[in-house]
This record gives sequence, structure tokens and C-alpha cells, in this order.
Amino acid sequence: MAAAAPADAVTGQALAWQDALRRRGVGGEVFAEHVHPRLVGRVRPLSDFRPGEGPALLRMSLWSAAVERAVEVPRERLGIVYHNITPAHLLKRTNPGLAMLCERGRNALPDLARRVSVAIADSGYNARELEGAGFPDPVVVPLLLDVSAAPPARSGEPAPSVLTVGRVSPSKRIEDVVRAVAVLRRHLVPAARLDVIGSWEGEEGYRAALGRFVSRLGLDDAVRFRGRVSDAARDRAYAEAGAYLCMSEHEGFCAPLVEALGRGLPVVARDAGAVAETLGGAGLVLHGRDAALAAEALAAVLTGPDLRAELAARAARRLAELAPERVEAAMAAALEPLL
Amino acid sequence: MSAPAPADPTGAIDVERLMADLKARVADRRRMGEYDAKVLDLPFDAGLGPDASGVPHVRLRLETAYSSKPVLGRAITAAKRIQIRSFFHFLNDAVTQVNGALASMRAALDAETRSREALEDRVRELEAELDELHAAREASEHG
Repeated sequence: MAAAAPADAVTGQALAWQDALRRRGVGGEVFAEHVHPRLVGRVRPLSDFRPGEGPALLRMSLWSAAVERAVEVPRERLGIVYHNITPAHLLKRTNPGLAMLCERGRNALPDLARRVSVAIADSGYNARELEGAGFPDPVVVPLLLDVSAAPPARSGEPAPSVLTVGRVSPSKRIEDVVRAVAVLRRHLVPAARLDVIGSWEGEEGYRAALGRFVSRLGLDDAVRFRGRVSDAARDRAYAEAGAYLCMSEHEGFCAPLVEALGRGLPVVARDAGAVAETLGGAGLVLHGRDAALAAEALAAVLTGPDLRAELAARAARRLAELAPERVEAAMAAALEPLL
Repeated sequence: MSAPAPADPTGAIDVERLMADLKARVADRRRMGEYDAKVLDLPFDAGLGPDASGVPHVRLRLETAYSSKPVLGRAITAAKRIQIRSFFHFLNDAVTQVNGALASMRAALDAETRSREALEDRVRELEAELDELHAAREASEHG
């Protein structure tokens, strides 16, 4: 994979699959071109990777030297796990370097289609993209997430607090989340506030622009950008929030939606990429970027106990479908041709 | 304020119908001018790129010198990298100059953006004052 970092979804999946495979008696190492200091020892540098040593899985989310090394593995021993690649136009303005790597990654897909024998996508949406790039018969294996099938019951009035989790990047449309919370405060729930959790490393310009936007909306006391936090702090934020909002422009799966469902947090999300598929009916889905509609939907979940109960019941059903044991079984079946 | 909670005969809430109701409510409120247009229409300027924080914005990327061509791919990749390395000092100097020029331009454009935003805020304040003056004049004319 390209880079291994704490609180990164692709890294989390690589490590979760490694654990699952080890439980099944299959060894395995994770290699990355860039390894965050906190993961040294758990993830090995790409320079240690030996293409002839055994079957390999390329986790594809952008172009990197890992792609070059992976294609040295014989076709019958190479698989790809496609997490989707952010369309370059969404990043070009604020992070042209990353945009270039994304574009190059997408352009490489047709070539990769000829070089792998197993293609895995974490959503049907991603699988359709792989098919479009020429991969025959991609298999869908949802993200392997540590979520309880029975989310904790929430009692009493929820806090008027909205949460969004994920990289602070233009493709996530955090400005739409901020605007929705501004409408919510102005017209519907005056005490509403917003917590944004996620790193803005490499997107400092976008983060600065968001800060100016928050100030101009008069929300300095109501919006907190918390940056990258520990898993424990993130879980506390899920537990303390009253609603989760996602206005992202592009998602190949969107793990935070499932994490929110798993913590019993009602979700309001814009239908983009795989979002509706990931929610599977367990949240309020918005079509388009209308901040007023997002605010009304947030108000509905924050002030409607019956709606919250309905969404909780739907969340339990969806979480059962995404239960780790089911995903692990799907993973093992998908990898069988390689092992 | 609680949203309507349409229910089917089993008692479950019809979430799709709820969303349709919310959409209709938003359309009504918008027609009646109930939402603050300053919030809904305030433009978001995504900025010009990373702040001038010393992070290089242009850098040499050896990983782009890659060829996926069958058979000859490895040789082409190696040749490209040797070429890049032989020109490294020359190219790196150009990169440093470009980064310096970008930092200067960014600083100038950021100043321009701040100035424009301050002017836009002032225009909004003046428009609000004008609206108040119009309202006061109408009230005095009718009073």
C-alpha cells in the first residue's frame, strides 16, 4: 500500500485483514511506501517487500511506488483490493501533488486489470468502477470493521451536537457540513454545535479557508476542528454526539458511517458514491448539497425520538449484515484463488 | 421542533416519506424567505493551496518515472531514473526557485483574498443598514 498512518481507513483495513488471516493460520505482512513512525514495527517498509515470496495483495487508493513493486508479482499470485481513488478534480486546487497521484492511479487501473488474478472491491460502487476499467468479475468484500451488531441503546435527549469524521479535504465538503450546522443553529436548534475529527495534513490551505468560513458565519464558538485523535477519543466523540453528518462528494465506502451506526449515532448523509449502499437504509440520505435540507434532517433526528428509534432498528439490521465474522468469511472466499 | 413522523401500519416510520416531507417543507420555507440568505449564500473560497509553511509545493517525484510497458518496462524505468538523477542538482535548483515564486505569489493572493472578504463583509453591512433605512422610511410614510 502507499502509506500507513494511524486513523487511516486503508491502513486499518490492511491491519484488520492481517489479523484475520493470522487467525486463520495464514501468515502475512503489511508493506507501505511511507510508514508513520507510530506504525514502525507493525508495518514494514516497501523496500523489504520481495515480489517472489508469496501471494500479494495491492491496496489501491492512489498511485505509489507500491504499485510498481506489486506488478512484479506473477499475475496468478497477485490480487488487488480497490478502495476507490478520489477523482483528481476534487483535489487539484488545494493539493495538486495528491491530485496527480490520484489521476495516475486511475489511469493505471486498465493496465492493472491485466496483471491481477483476484479483484476485490469494498463496495458494489467500487466493483462497478473496476469492471469499467476491465477487471473481470470483481468480488465485493465490505470493510472489516470492529462494530457491535447491537449498538448501545441511547436514552434521554441527545446532545445538540453534530459530528463528522474523516480527512479534512475538499472532497469531503466540510464547508457544506459547517453551513448545515449554521442553518441548524440559526433556525432550528440554537444550541447546536459541530465537532470535526480528522487530519488536514497536506490540506492546510483548505483548513485555513474553513476557519475563515466558520468565522464569517459567526460560528467560532460552535465549531471545533479537533484534527487527528486517538481511537478512544474518536469513540467518545461518537458516544457524546447527537447526530452524524456526512456531506462528502465522493466515497468508495465511508467507514465512519458504519462506525457511527455501531455507536448508536443517527446518521444524515449525502448520497455520493457508495454512501447510500453503505448505509443500507439505516440513515437519512440527502440528494444534493442543500444545507437547509441537511439542517432539517439533523433537526428531525435530534428532536424526534421515534425517528431515532426507527433508525436504531435499521442500524442493527445493517450492522448484522456487516458483522466481522460475515466479512471475514467473504474475505477468505475471495482470497481462496491466491492461497 | 419535531419533524412529522409518517408511519406505516406496522408502526415503523417511513423514512423515505419523511425525507420527501422535509424536502417539501424546505421548499415552502425557502419560498417564504424564512432561511437566512446570508448563511445559505455565503460563498466559500477554498483558498489557493497550502499555507506558506515551508512545506515544498513542487518536488521531484522519482516514482513518476515509471513505465508499465511489457518486457521493456523495467529498462525504460531505469533509464528514466538515471536521466533524472544525472540532472538532479539542476532540476532541484529549478524546484527551489519555483517554490520561492509560489510562496511570494501565494502571500500576495492571500492578502488580496482577505481584502476582498473584508470588502464583501462591509458591503453586506451597508446593505443591511440600507434595508433598515428603507424600512424606517416606509414606516414613517405609512405612519
